[in-house]
Amino acid sequence: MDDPPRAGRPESFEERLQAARDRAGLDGKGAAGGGEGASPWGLGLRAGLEVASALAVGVGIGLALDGWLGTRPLFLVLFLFLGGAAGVLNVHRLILGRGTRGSNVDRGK
Amino acid sequence: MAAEGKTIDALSQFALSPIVAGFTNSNFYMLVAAGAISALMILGMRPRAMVPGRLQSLAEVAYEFVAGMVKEQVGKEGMKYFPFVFTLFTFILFGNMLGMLPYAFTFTSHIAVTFTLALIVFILVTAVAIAIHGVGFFGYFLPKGVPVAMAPIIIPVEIISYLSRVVSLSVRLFANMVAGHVMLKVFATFVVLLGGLGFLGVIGAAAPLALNVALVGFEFLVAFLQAYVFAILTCIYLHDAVHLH
Repeated sequence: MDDPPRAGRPESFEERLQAARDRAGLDGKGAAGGGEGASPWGLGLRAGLEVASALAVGVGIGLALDGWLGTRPLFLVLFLFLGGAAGVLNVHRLILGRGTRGSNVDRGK
Repeated sequence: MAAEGKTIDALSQFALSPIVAGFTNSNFYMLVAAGAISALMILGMRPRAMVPGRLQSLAEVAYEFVAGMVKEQVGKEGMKYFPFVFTLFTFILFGNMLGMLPYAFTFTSHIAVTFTLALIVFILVTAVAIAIHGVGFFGYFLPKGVPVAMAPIIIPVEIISYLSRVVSLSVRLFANMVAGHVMLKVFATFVVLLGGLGFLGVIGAAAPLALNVALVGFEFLVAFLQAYVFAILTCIYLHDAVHLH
């Protein structure tokens, strides 16, 4: 959608529009992104959901492995803890971003 | 159908009722959503006006909103996934918004629907990652700089974390829609029950009615926000799949 800079015009339309928006203060910080992470409530619910879903997946894998191998409760216990760890990892990533792995700045906002 | 009796029946609104055998009200509203989206894009863009009219503006705003999101999150090369994200976003948005109409059914309030959508995202993202990085994709589960001795713990944890995306993505949308509609129904039932108590009841019913007005506004926000969150998380997952870090 970017307009090419027209002859005789110093800037493209997009740039002039951006300058005008900046002057009017339309693109304040937090205008884009944030989503439900913006409010403490939203962030808390999201973090809880991340833990719960990782735990659910862990327990699910544990039960499935136990059912398959007939080793109940061995894998259930093992994957319960792994699921909990994955939940903490999810929350860590939600809050701090993917850390050393890259510069995904959009995550932790 | 709210308060025929003196009880609060908040969940019957989520019941599937077959229109024809095997074709339920949920399916019907999915078709309505798909039809409305197609109509908006096809009819809205028909004038191809330099200065757009109302419908064309709406279509263009929808396009640019999603295009901006994809570009910002995935990068320029992510635009090949734009049709997917756009379809997903508009489908969920229209599903949520159609659910706000009186007598309408909210198909995004069923975990079967949201889980399927999340599963489509998950499979697509994984397929994209494997297509781009081949076997290197599996290095995703062992971050760089982790001692090999830690691998037996880190790899299962990373795999569970990866799989939990499907659950959290689907449950978030499903739970938000269910919670919102249950709240609306509960307070609406309060209004009806209080209204049946005579003059004082009618006065008392004003409070839940006022609250419901506010809740309807809030639900419109949630309807949009949840579609946005679903789409932006899809974009973040696509970013991870394309750049693998």
